[in-house]
Amino acid sequence: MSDSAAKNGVDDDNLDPTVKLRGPGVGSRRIFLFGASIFATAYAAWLMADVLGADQLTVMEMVVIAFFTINFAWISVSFFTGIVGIFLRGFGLDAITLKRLKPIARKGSLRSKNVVVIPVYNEDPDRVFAGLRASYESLAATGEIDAFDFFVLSDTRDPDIWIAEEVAWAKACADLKARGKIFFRRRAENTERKSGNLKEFCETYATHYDHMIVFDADSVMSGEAMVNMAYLMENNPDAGIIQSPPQPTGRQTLFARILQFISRVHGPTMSAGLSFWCMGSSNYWGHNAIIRVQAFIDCCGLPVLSGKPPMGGHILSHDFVEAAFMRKAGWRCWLIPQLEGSWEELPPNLIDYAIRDRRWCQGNMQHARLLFAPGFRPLSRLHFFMGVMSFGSSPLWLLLLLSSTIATLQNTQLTYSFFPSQFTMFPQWPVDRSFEMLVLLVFTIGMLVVPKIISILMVFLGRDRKKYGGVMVLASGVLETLYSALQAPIMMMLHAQFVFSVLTGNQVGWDAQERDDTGVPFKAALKTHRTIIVIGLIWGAVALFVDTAFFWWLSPILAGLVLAPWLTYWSSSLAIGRAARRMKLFVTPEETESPEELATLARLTAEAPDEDVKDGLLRLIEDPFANALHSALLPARKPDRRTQIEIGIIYEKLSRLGVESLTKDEKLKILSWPVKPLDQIMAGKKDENAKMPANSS
Amino acid sequence: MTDLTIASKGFSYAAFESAAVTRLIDETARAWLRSFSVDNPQAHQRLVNELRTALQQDSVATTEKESMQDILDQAAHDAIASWFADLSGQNNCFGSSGFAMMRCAFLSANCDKAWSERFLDREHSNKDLALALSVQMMCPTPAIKSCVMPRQSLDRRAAS
Repeated sequence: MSDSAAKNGVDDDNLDPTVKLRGPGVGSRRIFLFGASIFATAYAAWLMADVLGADQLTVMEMVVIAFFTINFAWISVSFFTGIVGIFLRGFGLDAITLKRLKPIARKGSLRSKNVVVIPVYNEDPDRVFAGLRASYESLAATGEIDAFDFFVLSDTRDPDIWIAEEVAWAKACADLKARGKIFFRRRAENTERKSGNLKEFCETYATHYDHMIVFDADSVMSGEAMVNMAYLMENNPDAGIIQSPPQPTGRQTLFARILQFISRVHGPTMSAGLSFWCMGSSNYWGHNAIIRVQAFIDCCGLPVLSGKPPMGGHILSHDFVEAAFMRKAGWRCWLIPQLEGSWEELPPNLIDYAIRDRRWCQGNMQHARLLFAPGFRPLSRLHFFMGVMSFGSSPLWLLLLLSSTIATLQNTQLTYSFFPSQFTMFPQWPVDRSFEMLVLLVFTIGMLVVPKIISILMVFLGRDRKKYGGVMVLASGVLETLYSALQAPIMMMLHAQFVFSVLTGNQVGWDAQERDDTGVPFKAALKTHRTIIVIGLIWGAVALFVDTAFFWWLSPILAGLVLAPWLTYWSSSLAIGRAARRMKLFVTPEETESPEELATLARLTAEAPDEDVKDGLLRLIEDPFANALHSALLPARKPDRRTQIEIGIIYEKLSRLGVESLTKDEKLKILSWPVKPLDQIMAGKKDENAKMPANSS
Repeated sequence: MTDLTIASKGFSYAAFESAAVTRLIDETARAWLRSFSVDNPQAHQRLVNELRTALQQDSVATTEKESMQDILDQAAHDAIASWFADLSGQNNCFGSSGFAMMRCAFLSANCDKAWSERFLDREHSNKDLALALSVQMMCPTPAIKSCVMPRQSLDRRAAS
C-alpha cells in the first residue's frame, strides 16, 4: 500500500490504474518551459538593449529595458504554455500522462460520499437554484445521485433575497423529490466572506462526506463531470484537489460573447499547457473543483495576515492559498483539461468585469506577502507570483510605455554629436536600428498572439468548425484580436489604478457579481473612463509633439484609451451581441449544440417570474408556508430581553407605518426570529385606525 | 376584576367568560387556523374547545404572560404541538423549529385542503395523515458533526 493510499485507508489493489494521475518527466517539462522562457526573454532583452543602446544608453533607456525584460518574461511563460498546449491538443495527447487522450471509463459505482456546496451571497435565487437543479437532474441521470448531496451555503445579507432563497430551496426539494438530498443553511454572521462560509460548513457538516465539489453561484456542471471527478478522487488517494476548467457560457452581450468565444477556442490550449508543466502542483480556482474534505479541514484553515486590510487581515483570494497549503501538506492538486461539462458565467460588460477584477486585485496583491512565507512549494510560490503579476504587470507595462515616452522625449532634445569628446579617427555616425526594432516588435506581438491565432486556426481546420460558426470562426478570431487589442490598454489603466489603490491602503467591499445581461448606459461609461480619456489625449499630444513616428507607434494604445467609453458602451449591448450570434460570430459549441444541463438551465431561468425578488418580510406575513419555512430554518434559540424589546419596537413600527417604513437592518433583525403572522402584528391596532398600507395588507 | 386577573388567579373560567373573551378566543383560533391554511368549521370548533379547556383547567402558566392574547397563543401552540406529537410520534414538536417544521409539512400536505377537516381531530385514526406529513417533512440540514478546522500558520517556527 502506498503512503497516500495508507493515509486514506485505501487499498492499492482497489484502485483503477487507468485513471492514475501520473506522468513522465515532471522536472524535464519545467526545465523545458522555463528554460525556453528565459532564453526568449534574454534574447528579447538583448535585442532591446541593442536597439536602444545603438548610440548610447541613457538612464531612462536602461529603465525601459528593465521594465521590458520583466514584462517579456511574463508573456514568454504564457507563450510557451500556449505552444505546449497547442502541441498536446494537436496530437490529442493527455497533458499529464502524455499518452493518447481517452475518455474516463469508470469501473463500477462510486464508493465515496460527495457533496456539492454552493456558497452564495446576495445572488439571484432563481439563477442559483436553476443551476443547482440543472446539475442535480444531470447527476440523477448518471444513476450516481445516491453518492451526492447538495448544500446551499447562504451568506446573504439582503432580507428579501434571504427569504427568496428559502422558498426556492423548498421548491427545489419538492420538485426534485430531493428532501434530505438538498440542504440549506444560512450563516448569521458572515465573517471571512466565502472562505469563512466554507470553513463554517467544514466545521459543522462536511465530515459527513469524503469529497466536496465547490460551485460558484453561477456554476453548472454535468453529472458525468461530477461523477468523473469523484471517481478520480477515489482512485488517486494522494489528490487533495482536482480542478476542472470551467467554460464561460450563457451570456449574450457582445462583450461576454467575445470572451466566451475566445475562452472556448483558446482556453483548452492554455489549460493543457498549464496542466503539462504544473502536474500535481496545479492551482485551485475557487470553484468547479473537487476537494478532499478531511485534507482540506486538516490543512486549509487560512491564517489571518498581520496588519490592516487591504494587504493584511483575512485572506480574500483564498483559492490559491488553499492549494498552496494542500501542497505544503503533501497533497497533490491537479488540473484536468479534458474534464468537460463544467461551466460558469462571465460579467456581462467591461465595467462589471473591472469591478470583479478590482476585488480580485485586492486578494491577489495580498499574495505578495505569502511569496516568501516558509514551507510553501516553489510552484505554489510561482502561482502566488503569477497571481500578483496578473495585476502587477499592468502598472509595469504602463511604466514601460511612460518611460519610453520620456526616453524618446529626451532623445529628441539631444543634439547628435558626430565627434565625441575623446579623440577618434572618424566621425561617429548614427546607427540605424529600424530593422531590429521591427524584429523586436514582431517578436513581442508574436509572443502575445501566436498561440491564440494557432488555436483559432486549429478550430477552423478541425472537425468541430461548424460548432463555432463554420468559416465565420476566422472572422470571429480577427474581430476578437482587434477587440482585445483595444481593450488591453483600458484594462492596463484600470488594473494600474486598482494596484495603486490597494497599495495606498484602499479596500473594496463585497458585492455580488452582476449576472444579468446588463448594458452600460453611455453616460456611465463616459463617467467611468473620463480619466482614461484625458490621459489618452494628453499622452497622444505629448507623443505627437515629441515625434510623429512615436505617436503612430503608440496609436493602438492611445486609440484604446480614447475610445474606452464607446467600446464599453457598444460591447455591453445585448442587441449587438444577438446580432453577432445571428451572423454566426463568436459562436461556441454550447450554443450550437446546447448540452442538456445548459438547456435545462435556460428553460428554468426562462420559467422564473420576470420580476425582482419580492419583499421578503411581506411574504412571510402573508404566506403561511413561507412563514413556517422561515421559522423552521432559524436556529433554535431565544432572544434576550434587550432583543425582545428591540423587536417589539420594530413590530410596533411595522403595524403603524407598514413594511416600507422598515430599514434593511430592521428587517434583518425581525427576520432573525420567527415572524408573527399578520393577525398578530395587527392585534389591537384595528381600533387605532392605523392600517397597513394598501399594498401590504 | 378583569378577565385577565380572574384567569391569572386560577378561578373557574367558564363561569366568568365574557363576550369579549369569547371573541378573543374565536379570533385567536381563526388566526392560528389561518396560519395552517385551514378554513374548516369543525377544526375551528376543536381549537376553540382546546383553548377554552386550557383556560378552564388553568393549564397555562400565566405568571410570565403579559396579556390574555399571549395566554391564548401559548395554549393554541401547545394544543397543536401535542396533536402533532401524537400524530407523528415525535417529541420535538413543541420547540420552535420542530413546530415550524411540522407546520411546513402540514401546509404542503394540505395544499389542496384535503386534510383541513382532520386538523386537531384526536378521535380519528390519523395514520394516513401522519404518512402524508412524513413525506412532506423538510430536512434543512443533516445532523451536525462538529470538528475544528485549525488555522494554519505562516510562522517560520510553525512551518519547520
